[in-house]
Amino acid sequence: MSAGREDSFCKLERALAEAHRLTDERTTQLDVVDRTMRIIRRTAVETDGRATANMLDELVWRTATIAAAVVLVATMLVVGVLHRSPLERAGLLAEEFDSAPLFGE
Amino acid sequence: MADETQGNRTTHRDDRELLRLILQGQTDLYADLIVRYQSHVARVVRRRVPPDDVEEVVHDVFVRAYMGLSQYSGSVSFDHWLSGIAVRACYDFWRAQKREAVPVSSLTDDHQRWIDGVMSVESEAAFHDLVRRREATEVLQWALNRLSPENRAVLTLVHLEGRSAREAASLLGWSLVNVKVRAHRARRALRSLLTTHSRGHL
Repeated sequence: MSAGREDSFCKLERALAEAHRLTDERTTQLDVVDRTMRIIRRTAVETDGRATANMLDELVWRTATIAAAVVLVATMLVVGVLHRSPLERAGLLAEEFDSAPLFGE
Repeated sequence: MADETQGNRTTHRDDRELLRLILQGQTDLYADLIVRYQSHVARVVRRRVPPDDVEEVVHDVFVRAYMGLSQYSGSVSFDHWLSGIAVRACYDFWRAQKREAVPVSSLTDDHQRWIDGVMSVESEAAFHDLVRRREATEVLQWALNRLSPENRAVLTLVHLEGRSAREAASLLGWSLVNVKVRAHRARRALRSLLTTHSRGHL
């Protein structure tokens, strides 16, 4: 591109940049507060509702988990008490034999 | 070159307090932030979208900002953060327009004369007189409407507003390399457009 054309283009580019800068001066004020706040409040209510629902969900799951853990521990304890080990049972049987002599003394 | 982010270099201390309270659930305080920054956002948006769509886009910017408020880290000033959202909202606006393929008007004889006038103008006073004419904005819009949304966004930031590539990258959320490549292509596209459609000096 020749120097003359380059100069012309730069001039035009500068003119367009100035026109872009002047856009501000040709417009009026605007107010979007009310409109935006209506959306924001609605969103906030929905978010609160969702947060409450999530909290409830979490509460239910936590309660269920704790209840299940308690039931599991209780079951293990009951099983532990009622069903002793075979070795323990054999020991008890031997004790019974010992305490009842075959031939009376 | 005028810069929308120069006004408040740091976030006001009461902005931080407001943001904290809003994030804690005092939603109504967000109205104070809108009042404080709507002129700033409008200034960014007005330069990028048609006058009839400015209010809609500014509204969209504040809704987006509210949704992303928890992501605002405070590392940049709040107005700069809002500028980024505004620039991206305008970019999205033009992407949506592109999808709808809005017809663009062509240059009239008045526009051609304006271009020729700018090319041949000698004095600064005459130049500023030409720049203030209606044709200046119309030629600018004509050229921008023919560029892709990407080229348009970068050309506006870098060539029309004189921002650095780094700042443009930060506002658009693009990589620096991408912005540099786009800026080069956008300028070439503008040059090609004006060369094709101007009769005299280019």
